[in-house]
Amino acid sequence: QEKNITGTVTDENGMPIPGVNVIVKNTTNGTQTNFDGEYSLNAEVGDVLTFSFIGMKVVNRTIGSSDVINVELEKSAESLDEVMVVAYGSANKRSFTGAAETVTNEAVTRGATASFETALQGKISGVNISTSGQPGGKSNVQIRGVGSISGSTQPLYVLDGVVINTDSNLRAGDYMTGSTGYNPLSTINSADIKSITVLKDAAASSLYGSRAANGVVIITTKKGKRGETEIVLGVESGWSENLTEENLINNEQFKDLWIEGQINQYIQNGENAEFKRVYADNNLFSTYQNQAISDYEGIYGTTNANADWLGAIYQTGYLRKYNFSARGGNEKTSFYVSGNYLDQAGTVIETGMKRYSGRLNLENEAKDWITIGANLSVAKSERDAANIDGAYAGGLNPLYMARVLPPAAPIYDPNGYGGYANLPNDIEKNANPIGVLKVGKYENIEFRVRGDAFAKFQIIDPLSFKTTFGIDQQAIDETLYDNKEFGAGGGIWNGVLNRVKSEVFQYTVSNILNYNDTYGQHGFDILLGQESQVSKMNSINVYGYDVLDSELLSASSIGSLWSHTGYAENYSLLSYFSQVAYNFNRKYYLSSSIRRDGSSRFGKDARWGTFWSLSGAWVASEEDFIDVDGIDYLKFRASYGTNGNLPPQYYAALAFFETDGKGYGGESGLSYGQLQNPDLSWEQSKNFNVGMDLNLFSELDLSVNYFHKKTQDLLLNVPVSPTTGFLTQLQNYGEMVNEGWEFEIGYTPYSHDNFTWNTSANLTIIDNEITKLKNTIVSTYSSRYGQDPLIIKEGESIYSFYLRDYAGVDPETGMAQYHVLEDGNRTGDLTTDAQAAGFGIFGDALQDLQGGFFNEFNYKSFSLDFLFTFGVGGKVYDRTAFKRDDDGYAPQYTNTVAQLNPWNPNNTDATVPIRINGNPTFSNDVSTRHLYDSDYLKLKNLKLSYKLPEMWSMIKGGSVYAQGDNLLLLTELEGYDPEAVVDGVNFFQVPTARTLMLGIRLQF
Amino acid sequence: EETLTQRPDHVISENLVLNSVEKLDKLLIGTYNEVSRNTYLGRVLYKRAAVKGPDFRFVKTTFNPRDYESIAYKYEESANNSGSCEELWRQSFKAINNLNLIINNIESAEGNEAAKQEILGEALGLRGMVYFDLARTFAYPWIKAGASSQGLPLKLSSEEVVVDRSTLGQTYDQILLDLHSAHDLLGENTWEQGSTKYITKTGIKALMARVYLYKQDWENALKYAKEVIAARGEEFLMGVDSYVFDDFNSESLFELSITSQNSLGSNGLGAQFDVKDGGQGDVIATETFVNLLGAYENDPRAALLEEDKEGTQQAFVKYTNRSDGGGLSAHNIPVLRLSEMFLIAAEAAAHGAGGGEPEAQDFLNTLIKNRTTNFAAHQTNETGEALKEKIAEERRRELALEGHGVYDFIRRGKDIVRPVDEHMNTGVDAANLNIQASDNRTICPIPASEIEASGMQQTEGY
Repeated sequence: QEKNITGTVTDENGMPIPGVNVIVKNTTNGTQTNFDGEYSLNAEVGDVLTFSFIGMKVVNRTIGSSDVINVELEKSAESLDEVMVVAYGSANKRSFTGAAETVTNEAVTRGATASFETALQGKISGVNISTSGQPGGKSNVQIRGVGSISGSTQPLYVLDGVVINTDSNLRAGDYMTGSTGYNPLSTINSADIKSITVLKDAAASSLYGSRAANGVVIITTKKGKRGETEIVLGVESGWSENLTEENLINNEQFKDLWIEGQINQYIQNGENAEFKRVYADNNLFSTYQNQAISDYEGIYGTTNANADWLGAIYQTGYLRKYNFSARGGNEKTSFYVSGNYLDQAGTVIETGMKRYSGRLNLENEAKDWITIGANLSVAKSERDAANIDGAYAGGLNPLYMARVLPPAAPIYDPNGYGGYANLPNDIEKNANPIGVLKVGKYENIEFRVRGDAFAKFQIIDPLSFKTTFGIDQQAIDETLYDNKEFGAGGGIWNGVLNRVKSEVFQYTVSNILNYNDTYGQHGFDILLGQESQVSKMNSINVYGYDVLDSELLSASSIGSLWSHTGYAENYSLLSYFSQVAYNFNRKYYLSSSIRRDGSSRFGKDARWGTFWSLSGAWVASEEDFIDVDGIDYLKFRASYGTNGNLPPQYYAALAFFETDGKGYGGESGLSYGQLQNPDLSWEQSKNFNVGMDLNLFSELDLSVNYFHKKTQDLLLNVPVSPTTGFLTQLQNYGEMVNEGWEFEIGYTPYSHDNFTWNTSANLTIIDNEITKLKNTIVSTYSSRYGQDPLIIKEGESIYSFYLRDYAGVDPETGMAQYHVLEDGNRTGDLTTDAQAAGFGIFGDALQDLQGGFFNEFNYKSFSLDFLFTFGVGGKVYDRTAFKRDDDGYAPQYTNTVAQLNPWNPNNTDATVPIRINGNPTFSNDVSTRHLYDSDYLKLKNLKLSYKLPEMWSMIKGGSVYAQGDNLLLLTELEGYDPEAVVDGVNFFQVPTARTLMLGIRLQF
Repeated sequence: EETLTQRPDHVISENLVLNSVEKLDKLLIGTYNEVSRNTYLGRVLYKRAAVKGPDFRFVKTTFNPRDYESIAYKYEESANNSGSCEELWRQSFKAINNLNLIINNIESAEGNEAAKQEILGEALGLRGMVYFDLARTFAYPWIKAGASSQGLPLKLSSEEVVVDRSTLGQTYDQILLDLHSAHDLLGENTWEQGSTKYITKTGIKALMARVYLYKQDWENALKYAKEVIAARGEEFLMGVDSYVFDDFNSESLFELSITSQNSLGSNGLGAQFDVKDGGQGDVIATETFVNLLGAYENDPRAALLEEDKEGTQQAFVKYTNRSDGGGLSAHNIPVLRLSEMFLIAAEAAAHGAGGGEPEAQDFLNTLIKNRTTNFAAHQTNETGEALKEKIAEERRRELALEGHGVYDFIRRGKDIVRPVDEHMNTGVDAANLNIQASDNRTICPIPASEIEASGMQQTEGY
């Protein structure tokens, strides 16, 4: 029966919303709410009412016995009038002419890592993030592709309006000895973050000028709010293990492989490599076999160690986060305070991170013409890492060692130091990785204070002025101790200790004048600004050997010094900028910006640069002639402009003489240190973007962007004639294009009473091409790591693989065969001579297609959501194979099943070439034998939560939840996560962590 | 603009250095440091000379040798993959560019005139030496095609870019021009203990003797060797009981001082051959060389053999770490010493210079007398080819690990023969054991990085 239904529609804060469409589903029967958010209409019991409003999530309600249906609408993610933080200010989504995306709190804080940026992967189109499994480990963030060859490829980070220092050059040591992969973002407590905006095109980012070529990430922390103080307590606790695993061989298999390799070695050298003859001659064969067995026992003994190196170096990590925050305020003053403690243990023993952080954000409306405020954060992080995540693979990298040592090498020896065994036969100088980690120390302590104070003057409406002073003080203290018993610290050195202190102080001053007014249908928004930033770093580094005691690791414990160095690295930037935006009737938008930057990092003849952008938007859905039912919002955007990228080096333009380590015979000395380049300048990217935003039936949001980013005057280490005494010089040369499409879609397939289902997906299609280059860059062969599989070549993608074309095992000889390549094309011949095989390009590392797929289900107080990420079209090269799937080259370093079943005259149908100890055939060097597809599908995140009701009058709400990160991965190469490495070269990096976490959040 | 001018505080700007004699002297000191780096005389050149010859080898791969110079040992150099040659090339030119800055600027710099002359003399002498080491490493030996072979790009000033290679004749002319100029500028030796850590007038003479020997200019080789011997006679030779490679021993003519300032630790020279105290000990003597050392009764050189990584007595430890600490490879590196002068004089005379074979026998016997307790049994009286062989063999014994090794084979046009059973399981391809003296892999290719960057002509054969 038909009855009259009435009700009020409000927003999340209880404010009535006028103009909400209320429709009886599948009919034309409907109405709108009045100014007080009230509605009234006739419908039958069992009908479904649909409430929709732009920028709000649609709500469906079934009519039951009640005549009153009050509805609360939630803001949808695509809220059009939502204020976004953008360059030097804010804008609402409707008026914004650029390409930018904002992620708000929940998505940012939920990641199970110390650092916020890792949670963005799969959430925003055009953004690709590679992450290490190390606690506090380095991330590689790419916005719209890899933008540089020798320069930085990382975005600019802006925290509460101040550009933060993300240089990681101030960490101690070098890649051989240091605790690698320091992440300068890990001192930011993600729970403090309110929103993150990623600026992608020129219109959005070129106001940041010479540093914005790789995009900009703007981080805004939580502010106070008027009213009763709201206190939030959060506790999270979880466990982590490795996402990827390797299949290893056992002791017997290792012994068999070793002996077979040794027999073949004898036959190769002593019997003219006539394997068939010797294998057929039982007597001769067993002579060699016996000899090989005795060789084996000479090295590994007769007792089987059957060591589990990976079991010994990996552990179940844990994660604990305790979070407290309070915010509140009165009419004039608002505050936000927070404290956070994070304790994380990595999946590699002895590694982990602890972080203590606090924040205070204050704002006060002092007078009606001035508002003052300050944001201050203090954080200390203590990180234990060891040399496990870099490009170095040798005795001092325990994770590498544990991943190459065979089960035949014992880990423990009750009589050894600390119970750890020396490695048999002086392999890598007794670098027992467990001993290296347990007895040594690799600690990085960072103390960081960031803050800014601002004053905002409302001069005379509509003119306002804001001045901001920001500081960023960072102190690092590193202790790297290569212990007395194991690794390089053993033997004559008696321990090697490196103690480093470094400090950076950066300050920023910015002054911005804003004019914002409307004359009839004409709206103006004008910004004039000036900014200066100065950063000063200095360091002291003491390095020596003969350490008094493993527990006493101060600089004075160093018995003999190798070096004591220290230096300063300073840089400065001066900028002037302006932005003018105009709109007509909130239908047509035009915006332009210009910025002039002077940087100390450039050559004296090329110090100043100008960057600009021009953009426009048309909100077509406002036009009378596009009054199509269902099209609630339609906007077209276009932009073009320029951005820059600074050289990562501070003094790359200057000629100078070095003094450090140049002494001789008791006197100090000098040596020519760098070629001068007075023309060194920024790398410039020219960005074009067109986009469209569409909302249908208030239910479906679609956003499409096409971009074309051309980077020219690339900062490039251009090879120079070594007769200059140098191999390369940083110059501006070359061009690169990143081009692609981005799609974002959001949809609510079902929203009914107690149950809603929201889904969203994003997809990026991207293509990188180097369009101009001086020389093809192929790094030369190194016998330690083999040929670098990557090539940088005009006309190819930046991470292209340059390989031999592997053709399997020659059934006659057991040798690895290759298709002979000439200019990258097969000649039709096969060869077993790796030197004569030739090279060609076989795909590249970058995924052609990448994205994320998100679903969220809400039922009453329960909610379940999950995010899948995926990539298609990339390749990965397994460079670990050079070290351990080497067909016997270094027979003591074989432990994967990839080496099982090698060719021999009795096993001619094999997939692995003949195994010869000390194998000189290069069969382990780069070829398509170790190339894989890196297509993947990953269950990146899953969360089940229950919303707590108000309880005991004290608790206002909250939630309990369980969450998993990196739960499932489908990909071709075992032991590899395509989201871990950006260049597609699988090496001995720390595996991605799979984390399970339980949490509770209480609001008071 | 002032804010935008930021300067480093650990390096010195160009104009400050080039206008001051005092600073140019520091640049010379720094150049000695560059010469002593591992990429040149601090390891690469000496180790390369050793492992390419028949007298030394890498330990078996199961003993996990470092890869330094293993390509040289395996004769796997190619146009694209020159192993350590690339670093040797770059480092040599790094030294040359420092020296060019000194040579080009010392005249106009402010400072003491006598100091200028001394600095210029040493700089020219060192430049001659570096070009000579480059010539014998990157160019075919004189014996192959004389002056007409491809020589080096002769970069004589810091600004100019030189891409064209001179002929070997022009290269030797330039080397000798530098050495003769240096000889004329430098004052007489003081022979103070430690003074031979710099190149001196006698050091230059010794170097000229060596250069003329390589150029097969027997008369001049003999002349300068004899001048050195006249200054430092037989009494300065180490004897059977005093054969120790201490710093600045009596034979020292020019040696690189290695102290904590420029010690390279396990990357340095000594640690390559000595496994004690955590050294690498990756290169050990072959049985061929052990047998060679057994030729004389009580030869002090045989006493340098110690236990090696493989457990046999084949580590040839010529370079011992200084007893008062300083770590691995804490030992000076001899560049020129007196024994070599006797051997050069003998070889030059055996080729007909001066008094011919009798004089050659005299020089050789003088050395032998100091290397055995039974001179009567071992003194030489051979003539002709046999005498030359005898001298060559003596060079292998006396100058092992001092940067001669394979160079003496190719300089004399002698093939390198390495028996299979001595090089088992060391990673070398059996086909690369016996190498003809004329094989291109006896010399370094011009590194691919040079050819790509400057278009320099590659050496024939590569």
